[in-house]
Amino acid sequence: MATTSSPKPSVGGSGMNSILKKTLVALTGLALIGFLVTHLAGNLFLFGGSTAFDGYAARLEAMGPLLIVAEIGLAAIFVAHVVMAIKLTVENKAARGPQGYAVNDNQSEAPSRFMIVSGVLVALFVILHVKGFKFGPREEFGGSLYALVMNEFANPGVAIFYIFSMLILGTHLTHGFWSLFQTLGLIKPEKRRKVKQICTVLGWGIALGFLVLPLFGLLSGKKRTPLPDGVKELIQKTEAVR
Amino acid sequence: MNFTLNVWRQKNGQSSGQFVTYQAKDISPDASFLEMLDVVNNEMEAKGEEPIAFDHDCREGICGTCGIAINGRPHGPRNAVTTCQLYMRNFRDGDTLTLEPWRAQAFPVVRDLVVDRSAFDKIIQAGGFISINTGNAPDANGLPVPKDDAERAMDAAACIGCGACVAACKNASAMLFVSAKVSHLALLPQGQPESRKRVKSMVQTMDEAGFGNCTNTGACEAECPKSISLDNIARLNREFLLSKLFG
Amino acid sequence: MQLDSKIPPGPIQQKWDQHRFNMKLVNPANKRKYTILVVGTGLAGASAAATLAELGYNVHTFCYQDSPRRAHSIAAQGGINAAKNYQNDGDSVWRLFYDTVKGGEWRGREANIHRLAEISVNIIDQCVAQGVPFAREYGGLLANRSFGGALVSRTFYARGQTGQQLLLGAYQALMRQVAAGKVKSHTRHEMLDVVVADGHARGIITRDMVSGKVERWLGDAVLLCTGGYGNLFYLSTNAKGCNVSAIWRAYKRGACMANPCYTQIHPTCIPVSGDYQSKLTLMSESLRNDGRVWVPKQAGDKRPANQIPDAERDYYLERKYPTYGNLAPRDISSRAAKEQCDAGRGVGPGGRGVYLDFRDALKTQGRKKLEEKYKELFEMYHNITNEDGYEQPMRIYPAVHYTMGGLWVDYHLQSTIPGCFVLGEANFSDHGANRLGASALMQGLADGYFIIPYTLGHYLTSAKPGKIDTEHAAFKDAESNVVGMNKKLLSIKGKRTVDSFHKELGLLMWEHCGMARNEKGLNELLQKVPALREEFWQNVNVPGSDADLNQALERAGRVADFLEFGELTARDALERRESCGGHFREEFQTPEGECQRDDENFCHVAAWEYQGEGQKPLRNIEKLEFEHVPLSVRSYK
Repeated sequence: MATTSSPKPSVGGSGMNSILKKTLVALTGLALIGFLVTHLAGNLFLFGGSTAFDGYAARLEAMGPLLIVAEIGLAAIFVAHVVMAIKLTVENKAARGPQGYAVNDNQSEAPSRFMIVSGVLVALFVILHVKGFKFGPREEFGGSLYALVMNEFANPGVAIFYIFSMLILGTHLTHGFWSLFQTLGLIKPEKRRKVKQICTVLGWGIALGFLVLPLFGLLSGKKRTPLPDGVKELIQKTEAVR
Repeated sequence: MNFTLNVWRQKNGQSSGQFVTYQAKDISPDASFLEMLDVVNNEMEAKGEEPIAFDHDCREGICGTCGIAINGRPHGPRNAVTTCQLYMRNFRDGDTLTLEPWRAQAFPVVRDLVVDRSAFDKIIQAGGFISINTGNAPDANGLPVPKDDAERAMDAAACIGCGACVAACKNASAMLFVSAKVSHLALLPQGQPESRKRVKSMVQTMDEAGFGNCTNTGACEAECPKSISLDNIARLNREFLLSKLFG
Repeated sequence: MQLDSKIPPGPIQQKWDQHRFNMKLVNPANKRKYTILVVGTGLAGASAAATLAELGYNVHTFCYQDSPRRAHSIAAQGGINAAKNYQNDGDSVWRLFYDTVKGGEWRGREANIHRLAEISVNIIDQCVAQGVPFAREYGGLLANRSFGGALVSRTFYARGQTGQQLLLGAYQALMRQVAAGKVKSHTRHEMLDVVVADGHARGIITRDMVSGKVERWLGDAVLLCTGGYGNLFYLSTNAKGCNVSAIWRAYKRGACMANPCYTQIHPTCIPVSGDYQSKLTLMSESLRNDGRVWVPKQAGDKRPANQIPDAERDYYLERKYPTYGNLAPRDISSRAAKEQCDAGRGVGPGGRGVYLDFRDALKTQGRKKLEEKYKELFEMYHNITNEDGYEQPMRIYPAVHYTMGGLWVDYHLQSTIPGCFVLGEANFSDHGANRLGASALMQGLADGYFIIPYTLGHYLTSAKPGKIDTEHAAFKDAESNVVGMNKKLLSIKGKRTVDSFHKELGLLMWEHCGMARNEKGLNELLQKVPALREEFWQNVNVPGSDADLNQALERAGRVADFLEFGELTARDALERRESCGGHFREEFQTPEGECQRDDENFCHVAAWEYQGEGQKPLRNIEKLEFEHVPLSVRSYK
């Protein structure tokens, strides 16, 4: 029935096969989850007060160029993840054809359908987050990242924005985490449901782990504590290295 | 029972379509969905109006010909049945039902609710077979197949090629269809010699046909009238990546 | 017409072997010079097309469905027979041959049936190699089950979807040849005429069902693999699209139609629930292993089944056939159900149904055990009827299922038009007057994979029809015939729909030429069917145009053919003054109500020859000889 088939835009024509594109999203996603886990582990120092947290920050910064390389790598992975996901979304919209459904009662789980929405929100969050903390006015707090963070979180508007963003991250991870195992074909068929459950728990575990931090900051109120001496020394050492 | 039908009418692939409203009156709750359409069509035909075109054949849920998106769900509100196996008692008296064709770039509308699914044939042509000429076969019991493998192959082979997976998927992806065939053949020893080549070729053809990318939403599995499992997609992905890495 | 069955000489076990050697071969280099047109892509068509393409022929396939994979072979549930004797239970080619001849009540051709039994083993090998996921035992070897009409386990199966899996195997082989460029697949193309030029079938005329374009196709041979005509009865277990048109139009071009009155009625179908009903659904006969069939003794008893005490139930199969009981063969159980309903004891809406009761099996075996065996069937029944077979008896009634009649073919599967071959259910050949379960799939694939590749080559090398092109007068004539018929159908603009005619015809045929026939009813049909046909051509309303997808027009053409074919079927049933298998004439029955064959006068194939519009067709006879399975009584008492 070639007579009725209109010319079709080709998904495969973009040079990369659909499964490879997904694989790229999955692998970068996996790397980003890896980052989230270490980031969360580090952030938990927040509960240890300024000594613990600023100390952690200083040790990290002491890595110098290595840290910069890692940060560039991370940014590249992040960008690849986002760009590929947007590309897939654009192609997938086109695959529906010229006419969409007038009524649509999609039976998939909601997080899976709104990955691009949750993804974009998380990306916006990341930009604001990096701007606010990494490039934030730390000097206003005597160089204490801890004080900067706690002060920001004490602001209900900021805390709620963070909490909201972490909920969004949670839904993103709910689908993204198990989905990457499916895409990489790592799941044994009989284990799929189990993997999905574990991934949901882990995904929410990460998101909720992050979520506690702004909550903790909000409840703790404003704290402009001077830097403990030990930390001051560490910071000085770091600057000397630089 | 009485129903209001919002039906997508489109003269052919070149023209644009629109919804037209019809009344289905005095329908028996024991009538099947397609029999309800027969009644509506017969009334129209008696008046000399062109009946609503829809695909159907066996009307027992196995040929895979029928397929209407009913109120936004391929094959209607019940799980694990085809449109022809849907009965009017599954609806409420007075319901308004919206009937649309499968919507996908790769399935152009032919007329009304009829779409062109020949892209599926092209995918099978790309490698959905075992290359054996008639007469070449060794004795059927010459190669034992573990019962579990045979059962899982059969699970996958139960796909009827109706296209509901594509229709349901927000990405109009054909991965469930392709993975069912790849799995069926990959699970059997007879399918092994060509497995690497097969998966690459079928995926490439699938992409070229204009289907979207799978994002593992699972709508396909939920709507599949034969309950083909997402496990097949994981298997397809694995087979594909292995073939790219080693094959 | 002198019918030459071309049965080769020699002992029956060696006929096919010897004949394969004797037939001429086509030079491999020349095969690509031949074009073969294959109409229908079910088991017979797809397997033939794929195999011929593998051999090097250029093949075109045509089907009305949107994909070759959807042909109605797909709906076969039970299985496929093969004389593998894997179970070591005494099966053999000879036993399958014997069972098939007997099952067909000595109305099939011995040589064909023996060949079918021989080939059965190759089919299984071929299908397994294609990846058909047959059921297996834990050791990894193939599983078998037993089926009606046989004392051995020789049926291979893939769950309840054997037909689907076998068809997918053939379809995939076909798709492989499409990819190789040897087959051109034309879907949504309906064949509307056979072109016979200078005495040979040289082409077909099709209508592209999407664009409405009528096209001419030239070929060196035409293979009709277009299935059965069960939809003559409107309600049947066939797919809605199944039709007689391809073989009927070939009949009108000179192919003889054999034994159209042989119709198989399947006893365990879900009864008709109302006049909107469009098809009937079959449930596996295996249900009769545990279900007991009964009707209330009192005609018109309207009490719910569970309130009718045992003393007021008539377990009529157990009463009439104490040995076989509820497992009496298909034709016998079907007729018995009709008898009860005719006497007013039928149950359910319309009174055309009998109970199939699992109450006692539930008591003795428990629900779990029954679920293990029949879960899917109970679910299907519940889905369709909204009744729970565990809570109340199922209602069943017989329905038209398969047609043993079809175009007459010789040992080469060639019809009386040279170059026009007929395969699968569309031909009349191997099942005689009644087909055994799990034999339809076997025959379709035998014809397609293993017979036609040899006999077609022989025809092509010996017939040598001259060179023609599609400008030949025969093509023009056939095309204008098709276009004219469609234009005429569209121009009538009467008051009745196509379906209303089809339903009326179906009811008439079912009433007078269904499970039981008699002279009076058949004569009535010979009056009423032509009258209905007359009205059809005056008063049908086919809306739309012939220039695009027009499902009303498609149906109208098919019903027009059924209206002619119905008359021939009635005529055939009238002339066959005996009862055998799927043809039960009430005048010819034993005192116990069983088939009374008349071997002296009717041990033959009746092959009807078209004599022109309005002319009475000619009844040709092919005498049947039984050297190996002596004629005897088929008893199930």
